[in-house]
Amino acid sequence: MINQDATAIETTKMHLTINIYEGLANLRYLSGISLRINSEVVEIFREAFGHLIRFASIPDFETVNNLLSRPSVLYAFPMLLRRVHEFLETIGLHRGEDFQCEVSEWIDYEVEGWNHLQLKVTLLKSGRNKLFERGMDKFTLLKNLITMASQILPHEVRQEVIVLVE
Amino acid sequence: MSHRTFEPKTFYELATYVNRLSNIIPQELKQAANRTCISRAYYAVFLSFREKILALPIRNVELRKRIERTNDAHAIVAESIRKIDFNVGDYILNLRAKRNQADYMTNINVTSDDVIYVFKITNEIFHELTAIVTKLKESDILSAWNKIQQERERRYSF
Repeated sequence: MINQDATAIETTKMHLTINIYEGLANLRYLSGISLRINSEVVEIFREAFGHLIRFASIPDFETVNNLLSRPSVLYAFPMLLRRVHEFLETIGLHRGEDFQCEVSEWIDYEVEGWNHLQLKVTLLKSGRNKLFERGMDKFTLLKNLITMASQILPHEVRQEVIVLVE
Repeated sequence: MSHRTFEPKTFYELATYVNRLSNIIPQELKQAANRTCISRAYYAVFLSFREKILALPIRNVELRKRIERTNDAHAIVAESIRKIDFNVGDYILNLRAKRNQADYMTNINVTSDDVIYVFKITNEIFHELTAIVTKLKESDILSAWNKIQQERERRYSF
């Protein structure tokens, strides 16, 4: 059981912070952890996850697990996804017809341990044509989406997340 | 530092040269040519940055060895750049992903559009190279290396 003095858990309407101090950071020595979380906070995460799967597909359980273990990423990601969709809709691109959107793991198989959470936008043929008609190309889109991510995501979340256009 | 006998950016010049020859490259070699262009563009960027990083006064001997002699250099270089500029870091990771596809994934078609896309990313990165390198410090590079090590430890702790 975690000593109350050693662990601080704060919940407010917008933030959940769980600080596990250094001595307890190696969780291998613990048989289990019990946390009581304000139901309001759970509702915020439930909504965040709902938004996430509304705007993007998540192809594997590993990514779901990854997102659930990083509340700040889970909370911030839907904001970026919403803005990306708004932007793509503004230039006339529709999800499913012109592009696909996926939240998944970026993994480099040559360098062990090199991974990120990725937002991958895959342009379909009609999407590429529509972009071209509007005087844009895949690189311009990548540039726009990367800039958007840097503007919208908090610094600590941006560190974890990369944007790819395929 | 050892005397340089090769300018990494010429890999990119070779890639653009090969791409300009695409009209005379036999059809059966076009995929290989496209893949080569993408791979060389990536290595032009990676080696250019690695060289600049190795020119810094890195006191950590183990870190320097990792950058000079191991595959970890790919991650250390890209993640160090992300510490300075997320946007350029993401360009490098996009480039790395395209290079991995080009070099290893034989089940996909690598087109001339892919090559053009990669060249645009490469140009953008080279445009920012000097500005980024002047901001790089050993602490950024070390922190990038620590992050990769921590991720490895996390994966093996289960």
